[in-house]
Amino acid sequence: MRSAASVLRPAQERRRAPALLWLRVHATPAPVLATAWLVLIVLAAIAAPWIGLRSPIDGDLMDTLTPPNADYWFGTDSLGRDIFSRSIYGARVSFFVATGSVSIGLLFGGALGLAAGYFSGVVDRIVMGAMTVVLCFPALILAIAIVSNLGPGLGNVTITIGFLFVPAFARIGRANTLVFREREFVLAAQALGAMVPRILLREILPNLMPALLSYALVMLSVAILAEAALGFLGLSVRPPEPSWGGMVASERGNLGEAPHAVFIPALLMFLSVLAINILGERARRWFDIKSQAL
Amino acid sequence: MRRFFWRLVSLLVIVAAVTVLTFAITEILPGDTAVAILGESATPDLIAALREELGLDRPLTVRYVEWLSKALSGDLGHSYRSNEAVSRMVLDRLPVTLELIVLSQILALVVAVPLGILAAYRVGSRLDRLITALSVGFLSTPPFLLGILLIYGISVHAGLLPAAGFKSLQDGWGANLRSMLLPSLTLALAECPVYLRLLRADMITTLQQDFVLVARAKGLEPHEILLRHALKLSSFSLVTVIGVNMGRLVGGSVIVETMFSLPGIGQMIATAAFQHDHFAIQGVILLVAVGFVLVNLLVDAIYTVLDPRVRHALRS
Repeated sequence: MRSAASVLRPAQERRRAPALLWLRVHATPAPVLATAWLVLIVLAAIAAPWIGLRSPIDGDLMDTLTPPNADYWFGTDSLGRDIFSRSIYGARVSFFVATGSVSIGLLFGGALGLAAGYFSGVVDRIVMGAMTVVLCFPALILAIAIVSNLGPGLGNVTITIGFLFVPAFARIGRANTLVFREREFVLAAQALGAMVPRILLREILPNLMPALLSYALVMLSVAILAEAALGFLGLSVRPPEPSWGGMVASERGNLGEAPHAVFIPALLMFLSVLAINILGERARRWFDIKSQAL
Repeated sequence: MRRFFWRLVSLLVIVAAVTVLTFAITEILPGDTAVAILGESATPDLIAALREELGLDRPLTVRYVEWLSKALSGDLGHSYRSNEAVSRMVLDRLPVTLELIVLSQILALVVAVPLGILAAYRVGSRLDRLITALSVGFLSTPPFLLGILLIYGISVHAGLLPAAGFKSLQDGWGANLRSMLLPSLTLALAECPVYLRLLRADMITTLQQDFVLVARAKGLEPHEILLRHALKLSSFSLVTVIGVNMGRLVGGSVIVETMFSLPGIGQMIATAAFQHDHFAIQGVILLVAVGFVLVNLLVDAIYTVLDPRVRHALRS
């Protein structure tokens, strides 16, 4: 058993170092590798239409389930489609949904949390009551119900997952607002006659950002997994458009003869989520954010 | 007594709000149910006829009240696809999902508790870092990837366990367990890191408390301190998380049941969503959400009974 001091010391030291330094390696190369992987896959996803990939939709039916080779780097699937190209286009879907839904959650959840925390009373009770009701539903079940009603598709999936993120961001925003609302600088601003929007946006909001943003980072990986789960159930983008979850679902029948068709998209997803989680962990430790009850 | 009364009131309010949200999601959201059932190419006449048949042309509030009063008497409507009563469908499938969830919880705790204690006891050691790294890894693995890895390794390659096909208890305990083992393991592996990390973090704080020092000073063996004193204190947060985690488990069971073709509620939800089976979704979502609320209330109650600090605070 280590003493309390040796457990606590690293965190304190880290806090003293200047911001953004957490990206610089401490002992392990993990954060650097994670950043490199994310940059690579996001760039590929953005540039997908212009880097001379084969069509992700039209396959060569004479060339199905070929294992990876010089011609098809990741092999082909059961319809002879290029898995490399489909994976990159799948990344496009994943990262679009992830950034879109987290932005929705951050924007609406943050605003609601800020309002609930600052005004308290009736506003607080209504906002947090509504959030509690949303949290009464198992998240994936609610997502399935909403998407099944809105209909599958990139935009609908993004909105649905974003909606499900709102309560968590609202809770974090509220909890932190409650703390900063009582601080002297807010009182000073009030005494100087600052208007409420100014106090909210210029005094309190900047202080919420570390907690909200490092949480947003973690939620990116949750969003990727959620999109994949919906894709697996056939509720993400409509086939034949590729998504990682959809690729896994449609090829899992051929697991015995062509494992690559299932494992390559799954591996890309795993690496992306892992990379985000590694960075998220760093960010959270850096900003010293306790995992709040969600 | 008073406290109990207010608990009950807030429970009723929450359940009422849950019914409103369930209804809102399935009725107010854009996306016409009739069009979804008939397909985009249906003629307007056909759509209008179906809307009338389903009662979709009447005002929302009327439909809500009617839906709610029927739901309260146990009638959740009929599946549009199979014409089966939704409540019947759920009841038939409930045992499978419950078995899956219970088995996977047991498996997850059996793995997570010892590893979590070990990691906390040797915090900062190589073993701790290995366990922590593995748990981050598993946390980043989507349940269906775990499932596929298990199917690939155990069913396709080694041929040890079946990859699909459910055997009910009528087929015998052994057959039933064999068909449930891979699905529950898949779900357990996804839940395990959550419990492990929580227990580890909680144990680390517990082990720094004075009573642990006292126990050590009095010469108790480490395993006695860990299991009898520290684990007991650290298990309270574990209990609450098990409640919250039910949501994750139900979500996970949708994927796992689809993957292993188990005839449970998860598979029912997935199929109903895919087929736009409006009333089936509405009914099953309502039941799942109400069940989830009740489980969390129960966990809350257990927590109050277990934790002497909370218990005494209540009494005084």
